[in-house]
Amino acid sequence: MIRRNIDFLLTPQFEHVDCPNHRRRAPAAQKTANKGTKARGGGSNVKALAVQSEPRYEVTVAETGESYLCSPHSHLLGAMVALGRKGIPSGCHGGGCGVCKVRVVAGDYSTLPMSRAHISPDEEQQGIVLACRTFPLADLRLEVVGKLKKAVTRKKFGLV
Amino acid sequence: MGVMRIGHINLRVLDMEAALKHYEGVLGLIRVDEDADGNVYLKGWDEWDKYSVILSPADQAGMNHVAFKVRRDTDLDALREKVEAYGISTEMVPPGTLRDCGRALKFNLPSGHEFYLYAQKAFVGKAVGVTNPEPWPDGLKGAGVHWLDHALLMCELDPEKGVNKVAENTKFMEEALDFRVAEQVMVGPDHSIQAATWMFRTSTPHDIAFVGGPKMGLHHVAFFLDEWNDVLKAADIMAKNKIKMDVTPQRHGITRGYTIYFFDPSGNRNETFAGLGYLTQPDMPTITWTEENLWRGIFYHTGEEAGEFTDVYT
Ligand code: FES
Ligand SMILES: [Fe+2]
Repeated sequence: MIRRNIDFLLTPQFEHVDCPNHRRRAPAAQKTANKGTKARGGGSNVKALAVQSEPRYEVTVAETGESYLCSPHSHLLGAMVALGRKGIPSGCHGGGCGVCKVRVVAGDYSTLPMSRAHISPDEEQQGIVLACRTFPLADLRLEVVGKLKKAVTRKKFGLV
Repeated sequence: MGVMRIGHINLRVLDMEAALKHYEGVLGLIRVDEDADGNVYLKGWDEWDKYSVILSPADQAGMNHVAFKVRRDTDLDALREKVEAYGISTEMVPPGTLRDCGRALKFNLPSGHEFYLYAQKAFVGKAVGVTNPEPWPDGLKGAGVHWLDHALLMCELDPEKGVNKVAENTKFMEEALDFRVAEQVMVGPDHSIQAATWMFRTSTPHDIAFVGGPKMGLHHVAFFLDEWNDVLKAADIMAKNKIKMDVTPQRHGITRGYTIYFFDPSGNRNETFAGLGYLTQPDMPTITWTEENLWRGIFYHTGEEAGEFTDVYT
């Protein structure tokens, strides 16, 4: 019982709505083999507590080398912030603002509709997606495409 | 008489089903109509005109247009003259172009945002009626917002290139539409750059606001709640529904409102805004916030940028 309760706390609660627009795809440039849908287990305590019925995949952000676990029912951004991790810029979590743009360089995933103001059909073909609209179907490796402005850019005029 | 108030906003949504779950179930707007193109019309319970929000299915988020209601049909002709004289071309669109509205004056603000003025919209009234009404109706969902309160539009601002659409919009709204500036943010070395304004036609601190950013867009659309406890309750409802909140309940220095910023399922920022701030009147002097106090103005308690105010919008 205790284990289940703790696990509940560790499992990102972002709901993934099944919808007809939900698209499954693998990036064009994919090189690594798909590791299937096995649950991540062993190693740290966190991994040991994973629910067997819910697979969780390892998502690695290339820039930082940091990785975290994400279920296929959580979007890549929601799972990251729920675990207190950083790396992908976080904004609206609705596929509208475009700050969480990433390139999936390895692994299968599915997506929900993303604003065409930020992801062109061409980019989508190349595995460029919005992390907040993307759900893992395998271990994923990502590169951040959106600029990591906050930390490095000074606003000269207060707002811009 | 001229412009009375904000009438409606037309938002683009990526997934209508998810959008309705949000605007009906979480905000508590009431669905009143749907047209053949799949646009859905909603209103707050405390509004008497037929709708204040149009949700349009689209492949990108953001705002299609914002519309303000004027007092009389003849005001449309008078305002058309003023807008044209200001140097902005207009189009008078026939009745029904805006669903269930009379003829409407269409033009773009200097910032590029599409803007309508109309004098007439179908009346549906409030559930509580107008004879010995109860203070609120039964059966409200979610936060039970009262009405569409205001919109904040992001306008291109690049002082080094001499671009300031905030100042251009503000001047236009003052001179052509008779809006007043309740508050403004002045930045730059000698505080000479008008980087944000809050403008009114009603007696509240703002019916529309303009803030400078790298490109034009919609920063947020706000819905009214009575008071602080309603704001807290609304935040609970959002948390329950796993709504992405950008800024949890707090006070704005500017307008004195109580606020929550959060996002709809397409990433459009919403606000629930409580408190009527203070009384504004046409002779009220404008309040100015300087660059060093800009963030106290926006988020009064912390005095620094909260959430993703400047960089994230649709
Ligand atoms: S956070 Fe806004 S598009 Fe992903
Ligand atoms: Fe606001």
